[in-house]
Amino acid sequence: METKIKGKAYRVGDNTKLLDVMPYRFKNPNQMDPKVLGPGAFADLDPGFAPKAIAGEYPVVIGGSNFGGGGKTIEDPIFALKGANVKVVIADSFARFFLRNAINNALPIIVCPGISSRVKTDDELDVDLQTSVIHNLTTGESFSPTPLSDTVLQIVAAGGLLPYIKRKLVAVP
Amino acid sequence: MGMTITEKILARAAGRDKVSPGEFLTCKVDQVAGHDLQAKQVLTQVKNLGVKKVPNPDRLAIVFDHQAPAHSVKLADLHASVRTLAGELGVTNVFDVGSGIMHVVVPSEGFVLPGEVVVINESHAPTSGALGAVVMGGGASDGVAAIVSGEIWLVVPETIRINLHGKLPKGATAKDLGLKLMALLGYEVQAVYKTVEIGGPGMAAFSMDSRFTLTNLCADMGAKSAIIEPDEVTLAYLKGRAKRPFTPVYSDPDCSYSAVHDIQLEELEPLVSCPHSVENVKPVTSVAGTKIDEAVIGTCTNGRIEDMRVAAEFLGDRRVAPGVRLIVVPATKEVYLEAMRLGYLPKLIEAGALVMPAGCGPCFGEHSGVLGAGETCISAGNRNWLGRMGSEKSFVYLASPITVMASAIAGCITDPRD
Repeated sequence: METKIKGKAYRVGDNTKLLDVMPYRFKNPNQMDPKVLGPGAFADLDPGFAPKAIAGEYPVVIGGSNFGGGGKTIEDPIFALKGANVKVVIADSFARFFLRNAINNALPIIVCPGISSRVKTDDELDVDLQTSVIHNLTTGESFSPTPLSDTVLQIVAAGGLLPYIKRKLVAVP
Repeated sequence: MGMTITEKILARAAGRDKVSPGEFLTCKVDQVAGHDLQAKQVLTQVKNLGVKKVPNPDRLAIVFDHQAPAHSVKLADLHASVRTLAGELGVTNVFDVGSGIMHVVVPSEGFVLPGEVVVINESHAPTSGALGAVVMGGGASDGVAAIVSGEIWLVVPETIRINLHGKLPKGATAKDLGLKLMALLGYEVQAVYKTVEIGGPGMAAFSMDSRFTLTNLCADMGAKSAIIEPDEVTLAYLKGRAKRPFTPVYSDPDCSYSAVHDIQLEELEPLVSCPHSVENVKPVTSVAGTKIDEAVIGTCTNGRIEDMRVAAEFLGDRRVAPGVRLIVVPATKEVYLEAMRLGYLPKLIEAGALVMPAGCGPCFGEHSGVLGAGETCISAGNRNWLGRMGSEKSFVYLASPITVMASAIAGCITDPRD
């Protein structure tokens, strides 16, 4: 797992819903393939985002409060972000399903209250996933939110909850 | 310092003596449930892990509720593949088309018991917490992990406590109390990631059906779970239903809550949640006279036998207004049959209501009873965001079954006390 992420931030506002992250019409009931879903990332909010992100321009997404809310449990938007080459989502706060689904599918997240007012789109960021320390290289500011737990880091390092479980299944003789 | 009921249940499931909000735990899961639209992904991933048969078939239930019976070839094929996968993996508790809504079938079949930890693959999972269990929603991966490993990782939530005092006045129902709590805590504002614990002296008079309505509405407040401590009403409901023995758990008197709210039930009145946000709650009097095209009595919020009864009794000798489609959807086959035998459904049908097979029905706008441009619906459901029931140019109001019934009779939104 890449534990150090460096690159430009893409910022969205408060209450960006799960279906803003990826509109429902991109959902395929048979599979969740990042390559297929990537073009759906923020497709209605900003059609210009996905092509640039897929090319590697925005490894860091910054959200406001209740990122990924709206009550939906589907995991497809996580895969849309992965397909858009997003390596970490940092937000003031997350809706519960988004936080769980992100970690379960090895998309790192960091809860950092106040971050959305200190970072603008195109700021250069440096993020350490082990410590959760964030540097905004454009403004010179740094942030030290609560680090992720060991279990969560292990799940992400394993490639998600299912690979993590699989290892445990295999380990039992 | 003591623990809340939720902390105690999670501690016990994690093999710990004491836990505090914010702690990461791994908890044993007592029951898992999934529905027709997620089950294919879940069961396929179980298979892909190399699992030949689900380890604990008696602890897994699949319910066909969201788009049942199938309304398209794509859905019919999806349903068929779920049945095939379930058969291959030895899933025995398959509640096929017409069984009802997962959040109502699963507790009424006795799969959720006081003191248990339950994972359900759908956002209104908190509904079953009314039985004194910790019931949480989750995505497909959480469902797979819970089925295969019997465990789930989670963060212990803070608890918001609601104390009910007094008695509901005439015309006000559990739904109106739920809408008031929604206005108080906000749509995904104060309750985000917390658990809502509802109790107090006023709870004893609430039937089990009414309690499910309350915990159901906590889901859209953004809560992780919602819970009501078990009492005689809960135990009476579970008699003859419970699938296995259980040990109820209760909050300690010296436990700690992040917030406590006291509600005087006498202050309640019929309320309506107005387009296009659930927290846009107003007294029904302020929107009375709004013309409606469709009315819905059903859903995991208000589709139980008590809701069928109050709707039929409120109807009396009257009829549904011309131009209004009143759609009644019993929440389970059990409710459907009981409402038939007791005469509620025949009476509603004679008065002009349309009755759908038990399931989610029109609630989420992707099955039958979809709204067109310019149409207005008053529904006993729990969501009214823009385009929820169909056209982005339609309007959805949420209310109690008697407010919905009064409106269906008048042809416009009406105070049931009139």
